[in-house]
This record gives sequence, structure tokens and C-alpha cells, in this order.
Amino acid sequence: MQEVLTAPTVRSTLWKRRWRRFKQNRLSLVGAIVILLLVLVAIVGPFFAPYPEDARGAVHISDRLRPPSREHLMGTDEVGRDILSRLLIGSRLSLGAALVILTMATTIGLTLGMISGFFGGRVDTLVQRLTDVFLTVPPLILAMAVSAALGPSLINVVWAISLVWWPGYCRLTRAEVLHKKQEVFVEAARAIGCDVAQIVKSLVFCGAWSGQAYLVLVRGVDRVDESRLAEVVGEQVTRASPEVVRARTGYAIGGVPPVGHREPLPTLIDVALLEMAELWAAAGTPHAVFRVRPDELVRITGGRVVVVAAGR
Amino acid sequence: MNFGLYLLQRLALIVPVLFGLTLLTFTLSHIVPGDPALLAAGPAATPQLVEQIRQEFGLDDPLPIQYANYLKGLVTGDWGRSILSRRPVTADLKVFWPATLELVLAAMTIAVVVGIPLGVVSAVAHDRWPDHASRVFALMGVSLPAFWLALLLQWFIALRVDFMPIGGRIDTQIGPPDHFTGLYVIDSILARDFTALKSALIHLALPAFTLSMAPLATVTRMTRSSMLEILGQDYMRTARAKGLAERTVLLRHGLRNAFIPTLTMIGLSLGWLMGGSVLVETIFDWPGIGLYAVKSALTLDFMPIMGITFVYGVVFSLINLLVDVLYAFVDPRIRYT
Repeated sequence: MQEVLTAPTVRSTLWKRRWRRFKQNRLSLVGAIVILLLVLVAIVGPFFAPYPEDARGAVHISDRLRPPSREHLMGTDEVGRDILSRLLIGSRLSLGAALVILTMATTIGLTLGMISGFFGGRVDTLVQRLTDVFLTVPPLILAMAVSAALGPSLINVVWAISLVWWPGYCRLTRAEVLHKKQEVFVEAARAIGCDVAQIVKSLVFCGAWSGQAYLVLVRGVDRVDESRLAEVVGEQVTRASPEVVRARTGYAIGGVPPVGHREPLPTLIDVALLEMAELWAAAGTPHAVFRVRPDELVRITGGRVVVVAAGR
Repeated sequence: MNFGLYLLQRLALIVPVLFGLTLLTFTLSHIVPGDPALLAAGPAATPQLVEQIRQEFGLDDPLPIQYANYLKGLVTGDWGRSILSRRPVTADLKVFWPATLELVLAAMTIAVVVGIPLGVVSAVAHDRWPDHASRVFALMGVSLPAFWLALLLQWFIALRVDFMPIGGRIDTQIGPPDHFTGLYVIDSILARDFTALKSALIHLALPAFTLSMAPLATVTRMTRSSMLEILGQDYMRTARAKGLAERTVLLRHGLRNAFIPTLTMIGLSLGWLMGGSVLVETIFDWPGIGLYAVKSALTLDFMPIMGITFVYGVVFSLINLLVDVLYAFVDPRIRYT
């Protein structure tokens, strides 16, 4: 019986080497494990949520703002919903939305950035001015308009946020391409007769994009926050009039939700967002924040006067 | 092409950018459903009152007419009035914008002055304790929510330490210096008013520090990543072999080549911060543009939205122009033909 020995392909040994190098850095390994755990939570988390109805709209105002206890491992929020359940169920949405936003924004941004930087001249000018426009459009308005035009679903919110973020990636890529296309290896490639596609490929795979990697991977997490913000704003918009916007944010302070109200799906930064909503609502009322005495900060929120901080 | 011509061309291109920007923002803000006149009239309004407000602000005119009127007003200096507060937009902007400008400039100064050296040190001491310390610091800067940090600082520093203020731009007893630029620090230096200077700086400290955390983290990480790539290059070895001082090697040969992505991020961060950070401004009672912008957006107050967008467009375009010019300065091989 003959054993057929197949030589490992170059490609598989390349990946094996990369994996070994990655394993050597213990810190990277820990980081990768943490991310995998997070993804795991996102996937199977919802099955373990002790109070799944809390993520779908139930409120228990009598239980609001409880500290961590045996029934509520992470306590309750200001309308009594179990925070742990909301986290578990919402993380799926957050990560999913962030992933899609990143993919879309980086695809558009990186591609346009490479085209802009590589070809230069008129193309560069055109793309850069377009980038300028999108960099300066107010993101809130963009999110609201997209929600109004396309409906407040998460997908449309994701579109809106990608539209806001692609210019950032575009400018970064363009800058790096402008710098790298002067390198010797590009000149050499051109000299031996490579066509544009091959030169671009050599640029992309030259392995010196760590700045980009940082922006996409580490700062990509910021997109999680924004997807939530845009979603809430989108929700508010479909109620169609500014007074309902104020009524909605009034609800966020701890009032009873209006009848027929559809609860937006929870995500990771609900608490932070509601804090924001509270500040917005406070801004809508006159004398929202003022100083009674030089040492005291008083805030009028939802009809109550709250002393926020008192000095000596 | 020569530098002067390039500069002129870029400045001229700002006009079509602003045109596109205002058109887009105008269209988008009118797509959003909602009636600012209704909100301005209040909960007890009669239909006649709402109609009166709509007439007053020309909200019933067809959209192209409204946009044309807006453009006409733009060039003549009349930027409209807020439907909610009836104040002219120019007056509001004149108060709020310099405040944000000052805060953002201070924050970015901290971010750049601390971040770049930290990034270089981090790259050079790669995988040793300064590197780990600065990476943890950078991570905190990015992860901690700004408003939470602001509240913490306010609680633990401003309320405990005697001279640190809770908020505001300047001590109300001292009052702002004579108005040249609207930036209290600069104005007080120009007016030789040193008590005002001290007060303005102290009030600037905490908010600027809070706001600088995120850009600081980004600048540090970007510098570190780029420097790490560069440090392994052959020409760095050559420079050292030539016997150059380590500082020259690192700065002129290393950092200069690594600086492009960092410069981009500085420009982008500067622009984004200019958009106004509502929460930090609210917590520190800083009368900046953040709250104004958010309120206008949520109440669909068209003229303030357009006004803010216009100024923001000019500022961001100028920042991008400056960054592009600096690219050519840092890397002389870059040409914009």
C-alpha cells in the first residue's frame, strides 16, 4: 500500500507561520480570546437572559434603580428593567450593527481613498470635495432624514451611520496612499511594466497599514454607540412631530411610557443614551441648568429640582 | 503647479463645497417630518398662531424659493432667525462659536503636545513598561465616556479643591476681557488682563482635559503604530550608523516619515471636536455650540441648522486644506498635480 504524500501548499504554510507568530505574543492572544468571548455572548447570550421580557418592553417601575442583587445580577435601570438581560439580548444587536456599519463604511471609504490618493489630479479633487461635504453634514440631521425617508429600522440606521463615517476612512487611506505611492517598490513595479491593478494590489498588501487597522478595529467600537443613538433618533422621528420628541425624552426620565409605544430594541449603551436624552429634555425647558449659589449646581429635570453638586 | 496657485485653487473650491453642503443639509432637514412652527407656538397654540409663525418665517414658500432666499441672506449677512427663540443666528453663533473654538483648540493642543511624544516613547520602548502604561492610558481615553469622566472630574476635583471651578468660562466676578476674538485666553493676553487670564485658564483646564482624552488616545496610538513600522526600516539603521544623535534619528528620520497618518487623525479629530461636544459642554456649563446644534436639529430649526453647518463647513474645509499643505511639507515627495 503506497501512501501518497502531499506536500503542504505554500499558502497553508504561510498561514501556519502567521498563526505561530500571533501565538507568540501573549497579549494578542488574550485580546483575541476576549473578543471571541464577546462574540460568543452575542450569539448565545439571549438564551441565558433571566428576564427576556425586560428587553422587549416590559417595565416595572416599582423596581427601578435597584443595585445588583441575587434576582438582578446587574441591578435595574430607571424603569425597572433587568440590566443583565438587556445587555445579553442587546449585545447581539450592537455587535451586528457595528459590524455592518464598519464593513460598509470601510468599503466605501477605503476604496474611494485609494482611488483618490493613487490617481491624484482631478479625481483626487473631486473625491476630496465630496468627502468635505459628507464630513460636515450634521450627522443627526442625516440620521433623522434617512429614518424618515426609509423607515426607522436598524438597517436604515446602519446606512445613515456609514454615510457619516466613510469620509474619515477615506481621508486616512488617501493620506497613506499619497505617502506610499512614492516608495521605491511602486516605482520598481511601474518600471517592470505592472498595470494599475497590480500596482494597487502591491500597495494594499505591502503590510504597512497598522494605522488603518487601529482605526477600523479599535475605534470601530465607537460605531456601536452611534448605531444606538441613530436608532433612538430614528424612532423619535417616525412619531412625526417635535412635541412627541419631547414627550419621548420625557419618558426617558422615568415616566410611564405612552400607550401604544413601541419599545426600541435595547443595546449596550442604553443607560448612557438615556442620560443624554435627559440632558436634551432638560435643555428644552427654560433655566435648565443654573447656579443657585456659586458652589451649587442645580438642575431642573422633569419638573423636579435636583441639586446636582454642592461644594463648600 | 506652484504653491500659491494651489492655495488659490483650494480656497476657490471651498465655494462649491459649501454650495453642495448647504443644498444637501437644506434638503435633508426638510425631509425630516415635523413642524418647527408648531413647536415654537407651544402646546396651547391656536392654528392662527401657527399659521402666523409660518408666514413670518416663510415656511409656506416653495422649497426652492426658501433655499434661494437663504442663499441671498447668506451673502448679505442675514443668516435668518431661530424659529424657537427669534434670535438672529449670527448673534447666537457669535456667542457660542468662539467658546467651542477655544475649548477645542485647548483640547487638541493637549492631545498633540502629550500624545506625540508619548507615542514615540511607546514605540521606542516597545513592549516594555512605558509602552504598556501608555497603551492602557490610550485605551482608557477611548473607552471612558466623556461625560462620565467629566462628571467624575467635577465631583472629585472641582468640588474638593478650592480654586478649581465647577464650570463656566470665567469667574463671574472678574468678567470676560475686552472682546477681540472671543477666545478668552487670547483676549486677556491682548488686553494685558492677567486676572482674567488666570481665571480663563483655570476654567478651561478640566473641560479641555476631558475633551482631550479621546484624541490623545488616537494620536498616541497612531504615532506608535507608524513609528513601529518605521523603526524597523533600513534607513533608520543607516542613520544610526552614520553616528547621528539618537534624537535626530528618531525625529528627523523616524517621526517625519511616520507623521502622515497621525497628521490626518489630528485634522479629523479637530474637525469632529468642532462639531461641539454636547455633554461635556453641558456638564461644565460651557456656552458652546454643542447644545445649540443638538437643540436646533431636534426642533428642526432650519436657520440655526444651516448657519451652524455653514460655519462648520468653512472650518472643516480650512482644516483639511491645512492638513493637505502640511502633508507636502512633511513629505516633500507628495505633489498634488
